[in-house]
Amino acid sequence: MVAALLVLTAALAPWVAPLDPDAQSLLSRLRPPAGFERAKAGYLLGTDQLGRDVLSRCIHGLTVTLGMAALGTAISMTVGTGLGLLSGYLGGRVDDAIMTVVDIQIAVPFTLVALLVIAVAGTGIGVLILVLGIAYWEQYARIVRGQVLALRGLPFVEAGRAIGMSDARLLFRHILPNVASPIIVQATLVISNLILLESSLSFLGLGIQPPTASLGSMVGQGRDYMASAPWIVAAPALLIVAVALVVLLIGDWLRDALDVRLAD
Amino acid sequence: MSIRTVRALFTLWVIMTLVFVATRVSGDTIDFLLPEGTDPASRQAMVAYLGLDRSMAEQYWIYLREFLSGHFGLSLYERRPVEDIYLERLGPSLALYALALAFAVAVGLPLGILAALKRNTAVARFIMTAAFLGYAVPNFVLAILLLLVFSFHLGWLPSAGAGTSAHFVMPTLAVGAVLLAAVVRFTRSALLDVLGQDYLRTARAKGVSERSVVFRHALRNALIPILTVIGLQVTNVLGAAVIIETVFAWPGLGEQIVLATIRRDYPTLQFGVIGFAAIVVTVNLAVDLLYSVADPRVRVGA
Repeated sequence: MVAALLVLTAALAPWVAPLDPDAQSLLSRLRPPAGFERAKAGYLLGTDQLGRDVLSRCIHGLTVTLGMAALGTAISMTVGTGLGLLSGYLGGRVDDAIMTVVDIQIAVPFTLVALLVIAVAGTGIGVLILVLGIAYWEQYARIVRGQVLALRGLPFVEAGRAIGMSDARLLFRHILPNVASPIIVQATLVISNLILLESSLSFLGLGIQPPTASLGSMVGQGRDYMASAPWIVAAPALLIVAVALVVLLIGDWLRDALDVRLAD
Repeated sequence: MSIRTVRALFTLWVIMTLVFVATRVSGDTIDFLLPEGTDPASRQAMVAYLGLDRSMAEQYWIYLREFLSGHFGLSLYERRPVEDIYLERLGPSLALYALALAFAVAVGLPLGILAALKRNTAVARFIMTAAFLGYAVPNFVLAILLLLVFSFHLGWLPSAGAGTSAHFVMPTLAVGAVLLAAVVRFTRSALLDVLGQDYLRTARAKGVSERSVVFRHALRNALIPILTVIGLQVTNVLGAAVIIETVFAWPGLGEQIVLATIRRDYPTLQFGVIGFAAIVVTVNLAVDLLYSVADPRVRVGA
């Protein structure tokens, strides 16, 4: 329910948001949320340092945050699942090479890799999408590889091979559907991690660039006004908490629903 | 040398190579360093000074040789050896990480044990909900919320810098929260796994006290998964610490790495990334080796 509401709000941001998120108004700078002294009518969550409506910016920021996380998940899921399938199905050298890269990715805090990529390639939306896309592919690769290894010896795969099915058909029509549910469960975990990564980078000023805002960059830019206008930071920060919680709860629920073995 | 040590060294070498490739592929590095409109002659002099006119193979060779002989380069921003810059910041960072780790284990272990022993009670549910929250809330958001409440609203704690013990409180909480949540969750599940096993029934049957059953027999066997989790979390904790240090202007390693990124100070960034990777690889190796201490059945090197 809450999840549907969040996604719907994000998808319909231009219509749901009461005001233009980038419209500045010097006359109504740093106004507190409704109900406080000096609050300005029509600005439910107050205004920021440039007189922009915090509520509208939160709604648009939510769109950016969820959109980037979804895009990153789609990329890492495709790459990770593809490499995991190859690794598990082909084995041998291919497997060794892919698993070495996986081990290395696990060994380095990804925040550092992200910082390195950004330092080299600069800040831009394309770079950010790339960073989010490569952040957690190895998790899919490991899971898919393990599943494929387990499935490879099962009778239905051998039967398929015996009747002369091509490798591609076996992989995509018969093995892939069997690894779908762990992939989906993993995706919810990855989405919440990506929301965190995108927010952290944008918070540092290395992700989404102004005037476009994600929830993370709103928190980052509002930091200078924490003493005088805490709502600028508090609103997007609490929204991030809500989004992260909802995504994790969905993940837990999906895991229980899809994977009988993990239910306790 | 065990096979694990070799693997760890191999990983480090691959990381060093990747860092080399990453920092050299962008051909316009030099243009970030020079003011706009620099005449070609000075630009050429700078390229030669930095050794960027040599072949890639030669640069790579020099890079590896200098790194192995302990010359890590000069910061482009501060014009002094990068290792000196990090060395100054090592103390505050280590103090913060150690405190966060100690906090997570000292609070997490008892809470996890409590949640396992008092399963299906309100106490356990409360602990697990809190652990779930700790896991779900991004740590920089937690840091910001702590700042809002304790520095700006209540005015109890300083908002930035290091020095007094009051400065430690919020960064420790922010860095330790995720680790704490992980320790609670895994202590509980590891202990629950072990508590149902036959040898504990045997121990109880022969009259071992309940306290001894839990602490001497069960907890000891639950320690391995807990250790593993702490080891795995080191990567996350260090990643988080980079951002937390920036939030609290903590004069540590992580803040320096972020500064180097923003300034495009490649030598400093390069050393930071490799240094952090070395820490993570070493810790994971140490956790591997600790297994054999916690559980004699595990043969290191096998």
